[in-house]
Amino acid sequence: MRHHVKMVLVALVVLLLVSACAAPPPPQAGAPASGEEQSAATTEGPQPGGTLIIGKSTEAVGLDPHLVTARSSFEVIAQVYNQLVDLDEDYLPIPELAESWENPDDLTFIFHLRPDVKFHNGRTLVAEDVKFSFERIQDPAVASPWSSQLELIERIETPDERTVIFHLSQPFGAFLSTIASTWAAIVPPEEVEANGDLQRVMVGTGPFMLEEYVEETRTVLRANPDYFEGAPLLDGITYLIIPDEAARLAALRTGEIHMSALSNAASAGLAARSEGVSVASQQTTDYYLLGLNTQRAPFDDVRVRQALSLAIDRQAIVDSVFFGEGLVTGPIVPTLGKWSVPPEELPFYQPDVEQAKALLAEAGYPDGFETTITASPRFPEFTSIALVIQNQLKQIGVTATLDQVEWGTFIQKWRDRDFDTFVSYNGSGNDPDRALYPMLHTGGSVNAFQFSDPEIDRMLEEARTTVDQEERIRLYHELAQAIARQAPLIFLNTRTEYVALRDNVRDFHLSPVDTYRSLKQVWLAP
Amino acid sequence: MWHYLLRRLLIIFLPTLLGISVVVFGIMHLIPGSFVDVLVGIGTDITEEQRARLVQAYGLDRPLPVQYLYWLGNLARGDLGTSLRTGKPVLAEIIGRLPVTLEVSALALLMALALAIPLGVLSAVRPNGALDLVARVLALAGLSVPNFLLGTLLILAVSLYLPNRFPTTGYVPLSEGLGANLRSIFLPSLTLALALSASLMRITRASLAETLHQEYIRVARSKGLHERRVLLVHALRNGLIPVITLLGIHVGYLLGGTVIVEEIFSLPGIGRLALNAIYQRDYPTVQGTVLFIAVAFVLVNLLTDLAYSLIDPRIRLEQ
Repeated sequence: MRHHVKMVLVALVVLLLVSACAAPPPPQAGAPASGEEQSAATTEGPQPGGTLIIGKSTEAVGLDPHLVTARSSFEVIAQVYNQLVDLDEDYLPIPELAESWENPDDLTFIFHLRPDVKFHNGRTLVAEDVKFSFERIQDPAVASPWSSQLELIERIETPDERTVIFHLSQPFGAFLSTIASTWAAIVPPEEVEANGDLQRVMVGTGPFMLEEYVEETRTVLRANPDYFEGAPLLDGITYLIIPDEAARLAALRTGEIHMSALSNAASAGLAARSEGVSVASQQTTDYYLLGLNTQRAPFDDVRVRQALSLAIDRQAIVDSVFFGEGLVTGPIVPTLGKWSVPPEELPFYQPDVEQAKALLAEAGYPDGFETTITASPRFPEFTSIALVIQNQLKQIGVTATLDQVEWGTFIQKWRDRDFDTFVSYNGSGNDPDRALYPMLHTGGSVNAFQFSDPEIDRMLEEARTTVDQEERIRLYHELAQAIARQAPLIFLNTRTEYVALRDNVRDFHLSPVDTYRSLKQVWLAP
Repeated sequence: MWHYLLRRLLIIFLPTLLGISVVVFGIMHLIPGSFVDVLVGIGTDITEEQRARLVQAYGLDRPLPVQYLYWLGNLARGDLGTSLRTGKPVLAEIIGRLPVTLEVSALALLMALALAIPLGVLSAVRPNGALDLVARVLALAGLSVPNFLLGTLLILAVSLYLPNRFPTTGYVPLSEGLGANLRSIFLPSLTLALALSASLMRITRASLAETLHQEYIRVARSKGLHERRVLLVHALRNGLIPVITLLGIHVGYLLGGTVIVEEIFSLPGIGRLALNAIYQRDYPTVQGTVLFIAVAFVLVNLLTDLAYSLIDPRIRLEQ
């Protein structure tokens, strides 16, 4: 029986490799959505009108920005709500609802609101709305999953209708990028009061407003004519829920929908070959990882973890599982730009089987050991990664058994820390503090590895409470080195996002953090 | 007959439902992963106290037997509970999605019968004829191809060769026009109908072929009755009894089959409601939908029993 399972796995790997060789040319990373032949048509410039129809794989799990965690919800929320500040392409804060701000000392932020912002119910935005929104997230009775992100806000003052002052309990370097998150949306108190929460209604300040929400079928947004930057070009956006990827591809081909996210490179290749459809792709700040249980032998020995880091060829995973699309990543993803350290400068990052074997022998495992890799078929790439790693670990004598479980079960095991190793992916958000602190600080909320190291704890705290950006960058570069040396988890590669578009969709840009961050500049060519 | 109905309801119906309610409740809470954990996922920075507050807010901190009895008590009053995910009453969620599932199942049943009965009769009349052979091969294929594959193949074929003829995704409600509505459920119904018609055709053929060898058929023929009358009035009536039994069971399976078909064709029916609820560990919704489908299954079986007596007066229900 065991033998059969092995045969099947080997066959799978072979198939995987064969399909990798036969893979279609991957779409250009970060390429503009429209092809060259269209540039002639686009000379007329943006034209208003039309409804963009987007095929979505999963329904939004509620619409309240302060209560939801699902990406499928934020896709829609991002079109309807605004935050105090936004981030530009370099993850630097830029004005949104606040037209300017001052930072007189490390513990105080003073924001000046735009005078011309109106909620979709017609009322003008005032400072009280900002105070209400943040205090709502902090309110234990509301039970917002995001409240811990705002722990360091001590109190909020509104001296006049257009000024909001945040007092922090300690310096917080990532404060501006935190409040630039989609969940930190500014909401009108009267609508929360009238509806209990905002799970089924949407009243924001954004470029689009909710017209119709038919659960599991469609969500219809209409352009906001009073948007403070001027009305968007589109008349509206309609989201159709189409769970099956093959069905979504078919709908793109027939023109029933204009746009859809695709889950993997194979689908992207299929879509790119369809007439009238092109594919945009983007490296995200999410990355794949092999998590290690650092409290369980043999992974409690740092030498074993270092050996794994040396034995796993990250580029080979990118090549065979992701058709070459993806960037090898250290503790801070390369998509975070200046915050990250190039992988070739990190310790234990160049594949070296001999050194790995020597480290294992030193740790007392000269003949390797047996372990399991937990993965979930909910994300097929987890399984593929696990298979490649299983094969790579054989070279250093480590026999890994694959344990495939349903997603809910996976989450349970993750929570109970009931695993040797697991394959998963993490989001880095828009700041290295968000990416590293909850994950690696002793007792951190998402520290599934149960990693605990006083030196790393100290460095994480220092980087978190430093406000000077240049100094923060230096500290995070040191942290990346220290974490790579400890290898509490094996950082693998960034996740690529694919969006297939009909050729008449113009000026659509992908962002590494939020796929559909802004659709206000998108227009439809006739 | 009323006596029979009452007895069936008391002795079989209620205990069955009670058993199902225990099993469904138990299984949902036995499988790993809880509603709150799936809601929060694995990437969210959330403290244990915050998690505990969420568990409490959703009423999941009470002991399981208490939760079960509470649910059962509400059930007795016709209240299926409230969905954890949407905050809407489960019954309202089910009723909102029922038309889709019923429409697809009904159309599938009609299509299956329209295909299976004539084909079955013709095959039985000329066993091993050309038509019989073709029908049997098709039936074997229909039984062997799982509906998730068939559905995907139909989507591919239609989007490649008949674009814009049938939408491959989404549901158009009846209120937006009968034509558009039927077009939107045609492919999913066909997917379900093909497998169903295959087994119905086989049983029609077998049962009718056997009936045609009975003494009374020979008598009818020797009386000089027209062959069509022998076949359609004398033989088919008896030959249909096994078909009806099978149909009763299959209506139950149809409801189950819609789970897959609704997912593939993105129809907002009961099947997809149940499936998403399982993924999200939305306990009241899973319990409600499964119980609902179980009630439908048991009721259909009861109706099937009643149908026997209409077709064959010799089968008396009191026995």
